[in-house]
Amino acid sequence: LKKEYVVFSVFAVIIIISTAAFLAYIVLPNEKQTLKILCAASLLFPLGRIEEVYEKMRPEVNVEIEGHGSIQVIRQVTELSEKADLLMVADYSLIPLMMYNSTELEEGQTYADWYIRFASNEIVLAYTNSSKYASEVNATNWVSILQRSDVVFGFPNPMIDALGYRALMTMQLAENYYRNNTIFDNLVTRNFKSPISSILNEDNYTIVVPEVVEPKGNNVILRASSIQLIPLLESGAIDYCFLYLSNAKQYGFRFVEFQDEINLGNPQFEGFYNHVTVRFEHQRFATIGLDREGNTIYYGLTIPTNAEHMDLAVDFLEFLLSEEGRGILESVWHPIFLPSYTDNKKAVPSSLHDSVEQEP
Amino acid sequence: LKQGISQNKWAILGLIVGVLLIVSAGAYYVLDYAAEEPIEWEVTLVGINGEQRVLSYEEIRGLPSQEAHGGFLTSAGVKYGPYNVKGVLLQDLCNLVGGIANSAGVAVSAPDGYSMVFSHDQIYSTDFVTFDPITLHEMPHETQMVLLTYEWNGKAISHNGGGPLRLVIVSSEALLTEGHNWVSWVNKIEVISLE
Repeated sequence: LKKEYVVFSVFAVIIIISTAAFLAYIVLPNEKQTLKILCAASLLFPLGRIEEVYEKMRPEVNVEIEGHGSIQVIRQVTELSEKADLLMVADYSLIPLMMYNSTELEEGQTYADWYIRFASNEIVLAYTNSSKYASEVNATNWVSILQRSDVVFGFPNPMIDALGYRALMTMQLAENYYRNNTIFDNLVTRNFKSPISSILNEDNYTIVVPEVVEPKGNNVILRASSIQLIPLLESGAIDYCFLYLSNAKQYGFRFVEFQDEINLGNPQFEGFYNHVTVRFEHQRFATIGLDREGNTIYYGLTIPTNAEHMDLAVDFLEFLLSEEGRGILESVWHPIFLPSYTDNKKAVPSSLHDSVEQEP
Repeated sequence: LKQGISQNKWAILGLIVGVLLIVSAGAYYVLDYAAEEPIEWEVTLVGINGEQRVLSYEEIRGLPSQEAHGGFLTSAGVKYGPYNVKGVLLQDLCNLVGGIANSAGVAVSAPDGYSMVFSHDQIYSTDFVTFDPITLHEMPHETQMVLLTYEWNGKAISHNGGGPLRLVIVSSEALLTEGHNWVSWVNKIEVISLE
C-alpha cells in the first residue's frame, strides 16, 4: 500500500506542477516587456550601444532591434502587418511619403502623422592600410585612383540600399564639382552590363538605373548593403567602398572625406545636391515612386499609431534624446541634433517637446 | 476503507491522464487536418508577347520539380535557413509562355507590391553571391538554380515564410544568397524586354 501511495503522489505532483506551470505561462504576463525597434542598417551599431545602457536602466524592458533597408523598415508596418514600437530610417522623407496617407488602419487614422529629424551623415570613401594606393589617396585624386585598372571598389545596390543611390549621386556631384564630364561614365556607366547612365537636362542630371543592375568586369563590386561590403573591405577583397561617415568611423576604416558640395551632408549645399535625381526603371515597391531626389542626408524616426508599447517607445526616445543618450551616440560617431526637428510638434508626445523644435 | 480510497485515487488519476490523452489527440488531429487543407493560390504567367497562363498551386506542384538547398541573408545581416527546398525552375515556367530571349528578363511580383527583375544571364548562368551559413563570409558556389518553391523541409511554406510560393536562389550546397531576391507570395511572373 505504501508503494502505491508513493507512485500516486509522484504522478499527482507531476501533473499538478505541469498544469500550474502551463496555466502560469498562459495567464500571467511575462515579466519583461519587449520594445520592438525597426531601423536602417546603418543605425544598428549605435543603437546597439544605446540598447546596452537602456536595458541596464530598465531591466524590465527587453529592447529588440531589427535592421532593414529604410523602405523595408516602413513597409514592415504599413504593408506586411508587422507590429513595431519605433521606426528609425536613414531618409526621414520616407515617413510622410509612406505613412501619412495610409488607409489600412481604422477610418481616418494613418500609420503616423509626425516625424523627428534627429541626425545627419555624409558619404565618404572608406579604405584600409592594405588598399592599393592607400598611401597616396586623398580628396583631390580619389577619382583617378578608382579608375586604375588594378583597383576594386564597391557600393551598395542602389535598388536595395539608400546608400547605393546616394553613392551614385556623389559620383555625379563629383563630376559637377570637378567640371570633368567623364567621371560618372568612367566610374559607373562602363562598369555595368546594362549601363547606369546619367542624362543632362539643362542644369540637372538624371541617373537612370536599369531593371537589372549587374557589374561588368572586375573593378566594381555591388552588394545588397553596406553590411555585406564591410567584410569585403576588411578582408582586402575590395580596396575602396562608399560608406556613411559614421559607419567608416565605427568600423575603424581610414576614409577620404569629400568636399561639402559632394558629400550630401551639409544643408548649406542643398541647392547643389538638388541638381541630381536617381530614376529607377523598375518599381521594386508599388507604393514608392521611381525617383529619388538629391538631398541632404537626414535620419528620421516616428512611433507608429498602432504601436503596442507606445509608452515604452516614448520612454526610450526620452533617453535617446537626453544628454546621456546624445553622449552615447556621439561616442560612436553618430551625433544627434540638439534640438532635433519635427514637422508636427503638436502630435509629438509632450515629454519630448523640450528636445524638438518645429520645422519652419 | 483504505483500499477503497486508494482505488478512487487511482480512478481520478486515470481520468486525468485519459482526458489529457484525448485533448492531445484532438489537438494533433485538428492541427494535422489544418495543415492538409487545400491551398488556394494562383500564379499568372505572362509571355513577352502578352500570352497569359494561370496556374493553380496544385498545378505548379504537378510540374517537373527540382530539390536543392539554400537560405538567405538579409541586407541587415540576418540569416534564415538553409532549408531543403522543392520547386519548379523559373525558366521552365517561362517556357510555358514562350520562354526567355537572351535580351529579355523576368519580373517576379507579389500582391504586397514587391517585385524583382532577373536577367536571362542571371537565370541561366546563375552566378549569385553566396555566403557561408556559419561565418556569413562570402564563398564560392557550384551551379545554382532559380526555383519557384512550394515546399521547405518537407512541408508547405507558411505565410510568414513567404508561402505558399516563394522564389529562391539555391544549389546542391546549403549556402546563403542575398535575401532581396527571395520574393515572397509570388503571384505573377512576367517575361519583359530589357532592351
